[in-house]
Amino acid sequence: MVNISTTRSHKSGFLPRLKKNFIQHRSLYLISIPIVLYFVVFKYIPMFGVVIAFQDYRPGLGILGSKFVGFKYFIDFLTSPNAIRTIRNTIVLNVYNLIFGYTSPIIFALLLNELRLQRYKKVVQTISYMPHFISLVVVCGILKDFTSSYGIFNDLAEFFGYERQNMLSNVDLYRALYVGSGVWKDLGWGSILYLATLSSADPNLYEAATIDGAGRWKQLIHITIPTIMPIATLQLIMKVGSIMSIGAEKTILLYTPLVYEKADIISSFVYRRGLQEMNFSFGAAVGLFNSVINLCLLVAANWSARQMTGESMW
Amino acid sequence: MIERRTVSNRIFDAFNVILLFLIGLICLYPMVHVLFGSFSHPKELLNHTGPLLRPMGFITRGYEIVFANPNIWVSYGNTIFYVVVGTAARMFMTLLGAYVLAQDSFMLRKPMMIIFVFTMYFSGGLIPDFLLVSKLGMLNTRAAIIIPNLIATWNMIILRTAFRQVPASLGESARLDGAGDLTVLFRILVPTTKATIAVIIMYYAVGEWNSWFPAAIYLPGRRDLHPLQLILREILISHSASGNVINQSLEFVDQDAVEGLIEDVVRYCTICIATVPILCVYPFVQKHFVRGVMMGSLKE
Amino acid sequence: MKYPVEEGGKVTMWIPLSSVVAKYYKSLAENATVKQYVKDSGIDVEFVHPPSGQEEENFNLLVVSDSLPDILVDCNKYYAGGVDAAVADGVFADLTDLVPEYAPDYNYFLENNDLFRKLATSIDGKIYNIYNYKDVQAPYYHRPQYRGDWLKEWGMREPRTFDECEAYFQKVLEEKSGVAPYLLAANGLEGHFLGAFEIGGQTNGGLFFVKQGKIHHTFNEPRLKDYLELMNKWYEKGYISPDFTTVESKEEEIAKGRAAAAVCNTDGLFTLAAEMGIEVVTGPYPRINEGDPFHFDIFYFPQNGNPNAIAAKSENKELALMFLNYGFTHHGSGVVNFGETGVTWEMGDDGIPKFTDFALNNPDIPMSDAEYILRLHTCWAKYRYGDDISMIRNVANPETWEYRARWGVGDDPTCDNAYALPTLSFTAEEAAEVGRLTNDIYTYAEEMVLKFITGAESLDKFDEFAENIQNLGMPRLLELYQNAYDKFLAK
Repeated sequence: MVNISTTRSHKSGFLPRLKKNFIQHRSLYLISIPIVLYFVVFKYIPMFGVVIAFQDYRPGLGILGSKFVGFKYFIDFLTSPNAIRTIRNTIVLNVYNLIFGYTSPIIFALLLNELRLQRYKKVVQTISYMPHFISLVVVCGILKDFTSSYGIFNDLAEFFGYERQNMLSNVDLYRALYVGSGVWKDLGWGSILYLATLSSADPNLYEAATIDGAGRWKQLIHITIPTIMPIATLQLIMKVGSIMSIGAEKTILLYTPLVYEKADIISSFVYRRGLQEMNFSFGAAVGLFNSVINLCLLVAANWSARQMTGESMW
Repeated sequence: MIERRTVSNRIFDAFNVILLFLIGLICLYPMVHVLFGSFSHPKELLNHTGPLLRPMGFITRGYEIVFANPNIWVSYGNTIFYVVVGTAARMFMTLLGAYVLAQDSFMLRKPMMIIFVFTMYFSGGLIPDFLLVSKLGMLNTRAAIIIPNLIATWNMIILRTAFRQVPASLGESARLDGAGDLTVLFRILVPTTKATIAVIIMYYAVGEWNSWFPAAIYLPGRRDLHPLQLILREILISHSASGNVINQSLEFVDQDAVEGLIEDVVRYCTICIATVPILCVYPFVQKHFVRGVMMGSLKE
Repeated sequence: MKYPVEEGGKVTMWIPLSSVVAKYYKSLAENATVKQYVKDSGIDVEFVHPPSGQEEENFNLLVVSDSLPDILVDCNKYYAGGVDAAVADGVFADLTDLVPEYAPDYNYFLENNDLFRKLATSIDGKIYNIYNYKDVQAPYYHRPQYRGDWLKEWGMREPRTFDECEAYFQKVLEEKSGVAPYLLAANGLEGHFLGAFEIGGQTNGGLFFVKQGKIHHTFNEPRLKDYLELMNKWYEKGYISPDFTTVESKEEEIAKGRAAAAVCNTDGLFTLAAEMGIEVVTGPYPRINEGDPFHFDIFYFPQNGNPNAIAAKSENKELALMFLNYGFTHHGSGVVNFGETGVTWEMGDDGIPKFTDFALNNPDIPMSDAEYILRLHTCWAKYRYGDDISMIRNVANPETWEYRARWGVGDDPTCDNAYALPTLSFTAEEAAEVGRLTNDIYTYAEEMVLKFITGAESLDKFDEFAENIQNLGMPRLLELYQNAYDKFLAK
């Protein structure tokens, strides 16, 4: 939007400038045709489907035949006694995830980058990305076993003088276990992009810095971190822009009613509703509600990032 | 590189080596657990408590059962097809998209970016996607797995960011020599961002390897086109207690069914077979994480 | 109706593929039993198998794209608003006029078993589904189970009262270190125990019940407090495993000697126990005083689930009905229950099919898989024989069956199912309201129940709980169920 209003204030109009730009860079426009076509056909055409959030959608009647109910399902969700709690839990878990899940791959990549033993570095890298590939059902099974009252986590806790308990049923530990297992699963996987980016740093810069007598800490601050800054900023913007969404699968595998207070999130709530009664519209309405908030946050994050670092998504 | 070997440097290095060793150990565990589980004797496995630090007994019966499953081999071939063709097609489109979006001189850069990002948040959902694919005649064909997901917007943005980190002077000098856009893209940008491209290829390949949802949706009548992960998922969620949480068809699978103890082992075997090949991709990607690629092309 | 039918043809069928079958075949069509069914009925069948775990999406997308096969097995629950809505929306066909002519053998059961008719037709008496028909009541396969060898060791009998349970649990706690005496149901509401307090909990886990024509719900009963007090006491004393909410398989926990009692699957635990070399026994529903009446035994359903519908747009409705009807004929039901004639079974002199040695001692196929490979344990609607004679494992190992049948009908004279509730049907709007209310009430109540039991919340707050349940819409939920039940009775 900003973009259009500033172009209007220029001497020549938008269209003549576009025409000139087109003539000058014809091949760029040509290249963008298949890309735009893809987005229009496969992303924008199906978007008419959002109307089912405002309908009492019944597959047998189709979108054209189903009854419009306006904001019924949005109100249904927001007035539910569980709405506030699930929204709060979703946001809190995502904020934790932002603090730990976002930073840990960066720190891990930086630590790996400082490693001089090249072969060792490669082995650690390769091992660390393995948990990403193990199915969630199995990972959660392992976690349940470890946190049960006879599990290895309790052996450790007992050694440090704590009493044995079922840790997943402890409402105060649930979030730590949820976020912690996520960090563990995606630490190595998430660091790959940073490692790739670090390899593009100019070795001459490091050489020059060493000659100037800059220590490792200074090199880290002045060369290494600026190299990964654009990608790190981008990742941060994305994470902020998905603060309202977490998939239900992991929660469903880990939670029990005993920890609903901190564990029940929007998607698991919608899932349970789906078990009671098949309803496309309710899910679509909640999804749309989340997307709107996410998009607003994304726009805000993008704007602040541009102000602060000069990096942004658009 | 010349380094001053100060004491604090050495302490840090030692600390770093140990810390990363511990992290590696923790990360190794789930894979080891599955691997050991797959060779364990089912009865001893059931009786075992705590972390699996060695196979409980040693049998290969689980693998024999998995390999006797006719669905496994067919789906293996399908997965390889989807990974190879899908990754190539996606990478090509992503390169084009990232290139245009990285050009300052391209006036529609910003509006296009906004249009693309918007689709990461709003989609019509399952039903219109399905209707579209079915109207385009792609239902129950391999094309349905590849074409509707041709570009992952997020990967395109990452690549664009990498392109923008390449000094503009490189492209400009090539253009002065009369190079066109495609030449600049493939001769200058691709070699200089090799590491990031390798990562994105891996993202696509791994994503495709692990993907099962599009196949479940777009190939309803063609089990012979299903990828490995869909078969794996069916095996994982069948009968196991945690699987049943996800599997709503529980009522159909008679509740009084009793499964053999061996099924737990079979599940581990299936995971190993479905995971080990893709784990081998990373070393090839890693090879490109070498400093100084950019310098090499500068000197050319 | 004569089979094989003169003018045959081919029908298509949507049916989930059991995970066991998927290990052997790519399609149910490869099963020898299916091949014989096709040959003998004269009607060919082509299967559409949804990926397991994605049945709901798959079914709805076929609806949306107008490409439903002719026969739809067990899909009622996947359609928004249920079966009545599916017929109203033109997805399922109304079969009322077609059944008498094209499915006469199925119709025979509808006409001759009043309860079956009530359970298998819509509120206004229409036929929308073909259901399994089963006229023998199988003992329920979930029971309270204990360690038989330990009971013997301590000279105890299987507990019949809560006091006896406590004595057994106490003994476990004292004598067997590292063993949790009892694994409570994961949601804290043990269906088999609730009945002793007359607060519902059908043994299959449903919380609605009917008392003198009036619908009740466990969460709405004042005596729920007594039950929770008992469970809380057990939890405090260490009788209940701290892991009861997260345990994946109670049968495995008992089999590996980590727990000493649970209400769980009889066949599963018995088989496991034999393999692990331990002894287990079943017990009756425990009461407060021995021999107290118990009215919540499992309801006897001649309608044995598995609703099959026929697509409204199908051009093969008659043929599809004829195909399904074959499973209700004398010979057809033999095939669909017992497998390939002459290979896995032979007709006995008494007119009851008998498995052959090939089925009972097959070296190539494990017993747990044989049920699905040598015969069709799960398939489309059929006349279902009793599990004691039609399941290979029960015939091959009669002791498994005896284990399951112990404490069933007859062994516990003061036990009946007077308060048990049949499955009720709702209109689309009602279903939506029931869904919303149930979700809100259960989310709150299940959390509170577990908190009361584990002591995270004091039982002094029970009155507050009862009040909140009211505010969350319990009266309305009961009203909806009452209406549906009254309509069911009036049929």
